[in-house]
Amino acid sequence: MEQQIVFRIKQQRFAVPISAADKINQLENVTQMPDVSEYVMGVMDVEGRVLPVIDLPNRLFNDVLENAGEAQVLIVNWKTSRIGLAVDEVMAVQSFDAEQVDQESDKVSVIDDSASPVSAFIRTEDGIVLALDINQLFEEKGDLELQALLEPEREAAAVSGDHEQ
Amino acid sequence: MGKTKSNESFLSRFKKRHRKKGRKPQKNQKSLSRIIFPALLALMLVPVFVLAVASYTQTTYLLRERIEEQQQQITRNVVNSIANAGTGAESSLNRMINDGRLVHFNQNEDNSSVQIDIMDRFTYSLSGNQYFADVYFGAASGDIVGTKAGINDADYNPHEQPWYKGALDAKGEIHWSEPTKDPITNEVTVTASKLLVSQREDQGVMALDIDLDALTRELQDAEIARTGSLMIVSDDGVVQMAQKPELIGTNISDSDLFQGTDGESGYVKDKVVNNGEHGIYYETIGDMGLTVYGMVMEDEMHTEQRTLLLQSLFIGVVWTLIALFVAWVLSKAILSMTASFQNAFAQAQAGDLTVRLTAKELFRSPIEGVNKWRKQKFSKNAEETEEKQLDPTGHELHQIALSFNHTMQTFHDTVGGISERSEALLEHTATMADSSLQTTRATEEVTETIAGVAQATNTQTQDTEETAEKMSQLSDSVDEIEANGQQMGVYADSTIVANGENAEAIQEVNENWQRTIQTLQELKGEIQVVDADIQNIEHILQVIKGISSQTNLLALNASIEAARAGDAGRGFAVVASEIRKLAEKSAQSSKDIDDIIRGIQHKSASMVQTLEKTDEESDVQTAKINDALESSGKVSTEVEKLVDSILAVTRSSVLIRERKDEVMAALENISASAQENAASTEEVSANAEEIMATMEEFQSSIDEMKRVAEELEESVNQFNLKETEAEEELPAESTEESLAVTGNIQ
Repeated sequence: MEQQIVFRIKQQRFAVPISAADKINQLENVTQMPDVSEYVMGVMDVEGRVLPVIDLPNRLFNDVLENAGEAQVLIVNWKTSRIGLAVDEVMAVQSFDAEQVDQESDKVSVIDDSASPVSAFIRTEDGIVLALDINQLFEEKGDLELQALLEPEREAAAVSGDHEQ
Repeated sequence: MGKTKSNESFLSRFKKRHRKKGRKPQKNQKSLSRIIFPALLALMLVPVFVLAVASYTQTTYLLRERIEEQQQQITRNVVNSIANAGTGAESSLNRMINDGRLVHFNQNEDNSSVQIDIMDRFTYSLSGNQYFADVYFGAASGDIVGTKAGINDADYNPHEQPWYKGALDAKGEIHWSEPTKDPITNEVTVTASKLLVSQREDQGVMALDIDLDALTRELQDAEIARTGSLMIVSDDGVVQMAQKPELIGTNISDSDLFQGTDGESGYVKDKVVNNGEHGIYYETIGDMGLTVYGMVMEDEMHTEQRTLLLQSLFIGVVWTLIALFVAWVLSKAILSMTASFQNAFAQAQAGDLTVRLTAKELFRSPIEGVNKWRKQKFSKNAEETEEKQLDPTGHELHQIALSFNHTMQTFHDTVGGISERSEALLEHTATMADSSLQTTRATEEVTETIAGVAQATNTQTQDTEETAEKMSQLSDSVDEIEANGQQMGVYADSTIVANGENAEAIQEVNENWQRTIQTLQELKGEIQVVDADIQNIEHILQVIKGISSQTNLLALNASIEAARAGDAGRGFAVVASEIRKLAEKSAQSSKDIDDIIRGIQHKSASMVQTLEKTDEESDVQTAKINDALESSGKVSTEVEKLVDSILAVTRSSVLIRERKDEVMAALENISASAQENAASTEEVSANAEEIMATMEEFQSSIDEMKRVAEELEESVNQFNLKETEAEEELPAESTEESLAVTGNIQ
């Protein structure tokens, strides 16, 4: 398995592939947006580009960040663009054995028939790390919403010719 | 009950009378004739009888008296005669004794001439008095001269004779001898003799014989009534003279007659003589020693008595016959009167109130002849015969009959009235029945109410008792309170003392405390200094932390870039990872320092807090100490108040006790009242019961009354009232009672 970026929300650890990650920043200068989903914290300027910031605790657990001042934003590749996931702390770059991994691709979310963002369970000494599939984070509606937010940005990206994932 | 009974009995009596249709005289019925007849008879006979008896008795008595008087008279006559004789004898004697010739006779032997003279004298004096028998003189010498026969006999010694001796004894007084019978002449004589003394010598004794026989003849001539006789008895009891020859010479000294003589004169009863029938009159001639008895035989009055008896008998018989006849006639007449009244009444009793008496009815003589005569006499007024009016001014019978008629009229009207009223009565009884029912109900309610009251009173009594008990308990409590109060007083005293000590102690504490506060304040200042230092460290630490975290972040980003670079970045990745590790360590260390600082800060903060707290607490403490001081002051005040209160309590408890006594008294009153109430309610209850009972009786009385009223109506209806004619009549005595007796049921 490729290296994972491990972060935590509260005490729960999550993992995303390092290839998915772009950068890690401190959570600051988030501009709030009106008429957005609750888990959309707003937008932030990252290297000249405006990215939506997702309140991951909210999205996953309907919870809140531990400390907004010390929270970190994990900028990840999403669709053809990038979004920021606000988390409590990015902990480490880690690699796990294949044995530790329990695939989740077959399981379906109980609530609304959509696919679970959790793609696998990684067993560690310190507990289970949930492997997140970022592309499965949002529903269709949520995807559209984010895309709408990213539209002008994508055009700008097309214009400036940044590299794609 | 009594009223009912009397009503009942009255009604039953009334009914009984009413039911007898006509009163036939019962077999054993008493009749006035039994009374009238004997009464009249007695009335007529008794006086006559009484009169006869009285007259008989009276006559007998008078006769007896007359006889006795006659006895007395005759006897007295005889006595007088005798006495006269005696007196005459004495005077003769006295006269003759003064004759000197007697002396001469005595003294001289030869005295034949004197003797003749004396004899002449003697003879002369004898002739003067029929009673004188003999006169003679016995001289002291022994001679004797006189008319008495046998004195000149040789064997007759004058000096031996009692008349001589007696005269000598009499010493000049006249001596009377006992009646003696002369043996020669058989004459009974009494001799009066007197001693002649002359020249102081006894010359002799002059004697005069009184011829008792002459007296006897006189006596014999005397007649006392029819069977009367006289008797002369001498002092020795010998009958000297008597009209009954067989008595002469007998000695009756043993008889009642003789022994009963007491005194000069009088009456004596003797059974032998006349069976004590008549008193025998006696008179004594004391001088002569004689007693004259005049007596009558027991059958003296027999003739008169018999005559009287016969007369009375005759009159009695005749009168009795007359009386019988008259009595019979009268009683019959009365009975006929009463019969007619009875008749009328009987008819009225039978129910015929129209019966009236007429004059014709009033009087029916038992003797038919009289009736016929009357009829004849009155038949002249033929038209009126049948309806003879009663005369309002007539005699008592008329008046009675008129009254009867009037009464019947009144009764007739009354009964008519009763009939009407009995109806009204029935109505009234109905009303009364209602009323009594209501009363009964009301009384029942009263009874219930009273029961309730009794209950309440009972409860009240119970409550009162409970209250009394509670009062008692209260009293006990009050006592306890008092005791406690005293105890409290003791405690209060010790409290005050303790309080005082307390106040001192607190004061000390306060002073110590103030010192402590001072120290703490200093401590607080120093801590704050330390705190400031720590803040500095904190700042620095923050910077370090920031750097380390940023470093970490960079390291991560570097890892990411390294990953993106692939193989070429592997070395970089390792470096990045080392950097991260360092950063982590740094972070860790700073974290540790942070922790320590935190710890210190914490501690100092807590110390400050503590100090602050202490400050607060010290303020509090101070306040509390002040409070304590205040409190102790208050305690003191309060304890004093308490003591006052305790005293007040003690006083109150006394008052309470007094009140309690009053309350107890009041309770007793209540209890008594309750008992009275109870008694009263019992009384009321009893009264209500009585009322109920009375009402029941009343009810039954009403029922009775109703029954009575009905019976009354029934009874009234049984009467025969001639309505129309009754209404025409006016109820006054002067009314023409013209109704004849009609429709007799009898």
